[in-house]
Amino acid sequence: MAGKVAGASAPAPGLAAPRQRAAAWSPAKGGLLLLALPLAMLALFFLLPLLVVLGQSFTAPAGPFDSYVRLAGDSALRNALTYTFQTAAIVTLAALVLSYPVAFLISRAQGRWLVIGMVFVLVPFWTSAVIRSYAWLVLLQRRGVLNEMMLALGLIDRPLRLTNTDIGTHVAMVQIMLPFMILPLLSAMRGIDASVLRAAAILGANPWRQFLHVYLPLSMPGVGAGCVLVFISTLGFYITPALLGGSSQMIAVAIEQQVSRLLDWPLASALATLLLVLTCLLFMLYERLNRRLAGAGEAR
Amino acid sequence: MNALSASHPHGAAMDRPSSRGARVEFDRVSKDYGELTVLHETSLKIAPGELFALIGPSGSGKSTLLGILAGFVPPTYGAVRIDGTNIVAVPPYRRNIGMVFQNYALFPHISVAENIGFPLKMRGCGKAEIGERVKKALAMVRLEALGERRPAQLSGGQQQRVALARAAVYDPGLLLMDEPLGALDKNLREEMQDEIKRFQRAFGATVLYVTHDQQEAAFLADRLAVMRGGMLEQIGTPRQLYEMPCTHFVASFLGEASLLPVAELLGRDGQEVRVRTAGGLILRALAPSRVSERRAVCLRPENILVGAEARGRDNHFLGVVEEAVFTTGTLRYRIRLPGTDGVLTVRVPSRPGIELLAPGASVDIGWDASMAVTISED
Amino acid sequence: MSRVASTPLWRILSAGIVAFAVLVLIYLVLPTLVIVPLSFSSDTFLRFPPSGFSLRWYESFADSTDYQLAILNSLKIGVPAALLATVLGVMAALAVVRGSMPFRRTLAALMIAPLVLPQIVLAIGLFPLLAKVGLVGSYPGIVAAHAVVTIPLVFITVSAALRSYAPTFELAAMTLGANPWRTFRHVTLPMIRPGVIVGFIFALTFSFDELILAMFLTSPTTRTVPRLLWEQLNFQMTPIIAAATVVILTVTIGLLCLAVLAGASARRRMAGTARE
Repeated sequence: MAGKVAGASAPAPGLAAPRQRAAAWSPAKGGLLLLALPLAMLALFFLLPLLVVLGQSFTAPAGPFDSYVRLAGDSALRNALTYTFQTAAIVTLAALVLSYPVAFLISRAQGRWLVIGMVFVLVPFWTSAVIRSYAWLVLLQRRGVLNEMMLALGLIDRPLRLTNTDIGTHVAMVQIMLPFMILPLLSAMRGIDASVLRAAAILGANPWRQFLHVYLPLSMPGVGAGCVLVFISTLGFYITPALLGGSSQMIAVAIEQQVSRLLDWPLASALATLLLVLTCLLFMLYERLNRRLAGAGEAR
Repeated sequence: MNALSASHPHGAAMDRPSSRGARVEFDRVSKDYGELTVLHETSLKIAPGELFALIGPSGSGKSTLLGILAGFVPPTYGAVRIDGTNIVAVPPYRRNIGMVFQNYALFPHISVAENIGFPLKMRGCGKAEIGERVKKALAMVRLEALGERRPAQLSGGQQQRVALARAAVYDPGLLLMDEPLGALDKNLREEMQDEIKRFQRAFGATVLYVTHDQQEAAFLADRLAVMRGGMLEQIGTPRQLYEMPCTHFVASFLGEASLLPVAELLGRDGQEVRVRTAGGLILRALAPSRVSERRAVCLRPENILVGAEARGRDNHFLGVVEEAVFTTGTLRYRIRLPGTDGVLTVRVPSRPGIELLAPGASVDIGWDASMAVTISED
Repeated sequence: MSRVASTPLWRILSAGIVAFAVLVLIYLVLPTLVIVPLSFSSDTFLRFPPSGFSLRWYESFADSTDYQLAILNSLKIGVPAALLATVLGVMAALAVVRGSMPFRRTLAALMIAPLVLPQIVLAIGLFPLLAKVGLVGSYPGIVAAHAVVTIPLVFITVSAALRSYAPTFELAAMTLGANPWRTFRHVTLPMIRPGVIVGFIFALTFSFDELILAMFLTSPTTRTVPRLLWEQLNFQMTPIIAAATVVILTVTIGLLCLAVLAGASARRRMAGTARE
């Protein structure tokens, strides 16, 4: 290795040779070695398949860009796209409104109440989406729990149609997404020092103002992270919409159908590429917010 | 050392003879992180058996220098030699250096005895030998009864002693101590200072001791270095550094000092110089040859005499008391000098019968040339 | 907001918030529990309320060779996938958290990415790839796929465990003569063990639950429980699904309780530790 003479500090007198970089033992060298296997795994079974998706989207028989042209021309797929975004927005907003007070109370809870609150959030979080969607189907279908109960109570005299409606599907999706909103909110809110609010109160802010000018801004990183997380997850949502239906298809359902029913891999790949790009962009946003959140946490 | 090394007369191969500590040499070592230089080219020799302290504010590079010696921080340039062998390429686990960490870094998941036995186990010692040596080490730090406890069940001082025993049980020729008393309260810290000093004398190893506490360093060290901005500012015995600081930084880092800026060098007489201060006083002061620029005169508060004693000294003025305070053992004055040089801090031993001067009183102050030293600006 | 709420209006408002939160929590948990009474139904189709109590659906669940095979498959896929993900996730977390290489943030983001990406995208990329090497429908194919999507779970839990204590323990071990492997074996691993166990359980649970990759990459002979449930959902709606669901739910919650206990015991043990 060519020795680099340090510019600022001149060599000691009587020292002719330029200083050699020290061939020092460094703990960092082991790090790369450790990373080799996980990276190889990710490259082979994660990054490569994504490249395959991208490549596949250009393999339509009618020309490389044909699938994208068809995607733009197919009104059902266009609808699926707008519907997916609409759904993601609705679910995100609803989840935020429902989660914020819950997260706030859990973040202030202690002892038994904290445990109960966390159990109520974590158990659904780790319950299979298949099972939870199935439960909603049981609740909402024509001869489902809800209809039977309302019939028995005489509230209605004919079963209502609750599946294959947007309202039914959205209610189910929001329920499944709630933990993904509550958990980031909680981690942001637990980082907020209660003394900040007390200080605001001493300075004369009423509770509403304390909330608006102190608490809400401090909890914003969690709001951002939770919203992006829920939005991303809803964009790729498959199980619930596939089971409960809705006024239009979600992208993930459309992709699956293109592949398994129509065997149109190029079109499915084009759709998937779109979903991939959108998710990537949102994930980068999420990383940014997370970093800010982590930064705020370290500053405490 | 004897207590520990006696337990294994035919010790393992890795054990060096500890009748003498290791000789340590930093040879033009530096450390850059990209554009940022955290340690400028530094050379330093530490003699076998010496207790050498590095002091300085945080970010001064003392931890970097220690990290380079321990092997945690790869130096960008230079060599580090222990007993003449460059160890820069040797991983920490083969350097055979003992280290005491600021928070002791006792492994929480194993017992005290297992902690002390850990380095022996890593060196492939047999169970019986480990048991015996751990027992001796525990006895040396007077914790015989606590071997089966977990570290978290010990007090801070006890954990400190376990850390010491663990770092020394394999007889390393070199011990590194990184703020070892930083986590203890004041009384315990002073007690442990005595203990460390005793321990080091008995153990005979070379010690590199990092601290930001100048009193601790002065009490413990044979020699010490003041670090600042990634450089060694001054090296010497604690007394040399206190009495003959080269720079304002060293003077104020070790104890209290009053500084009078120099306006003009009037003349030289052997070790002494005559200067005119910025405030217009003519002073005589020592001029150590290693200080090139003479920018200020540094005065230690206890070297300034007050009242009758002050008359007839090399430097003698009439000052005005601005502030007078009794603190335990001393009377502390702030005395304004004639001219515009400002205020000196003066400490006089407080004995029964010595009156505390009242603020506003005029008082004789004076000191001999040998009591003041010229330093460079910063 | 807690202690200023003294005026009646604020008191009503905070009571309102509590009531609202309780309703949300009920909405979160209750719908899933509806399945429990249905699984004990004596009817041949889903009906609420069930006309009678019986264990017949648990019996037919226990007798079903389809379910037996699926459970076996879920184990054969989940355990090796979770083990693989644990080994790789621990390695990655060690490298990213303790190492000092450049692009650590990006690497960390990359390690988490497979969890965030919709599985359908990965599925339609992996299918042709695995088809080419003849691994579709085989165990190795789905094991690798599940390992990749569960590495993030281990990475996250182990990273958190590594960040919870200062690296001086490892530095200390090194000065005491332990080489990197023995440092890991005797110091790091015991310290992060709860994080590793929790990560493993999360990975296992995830694999047991995962549907989309299983739909694409397993065959009728290697199909997992979620895929079987899904196929049954699209054909028949007998309470056997409810029975199966309750069993899976119980096992999942049991595993998670284990994970929580592991985490709690670790926190207790570390509580007395001197920390930076």
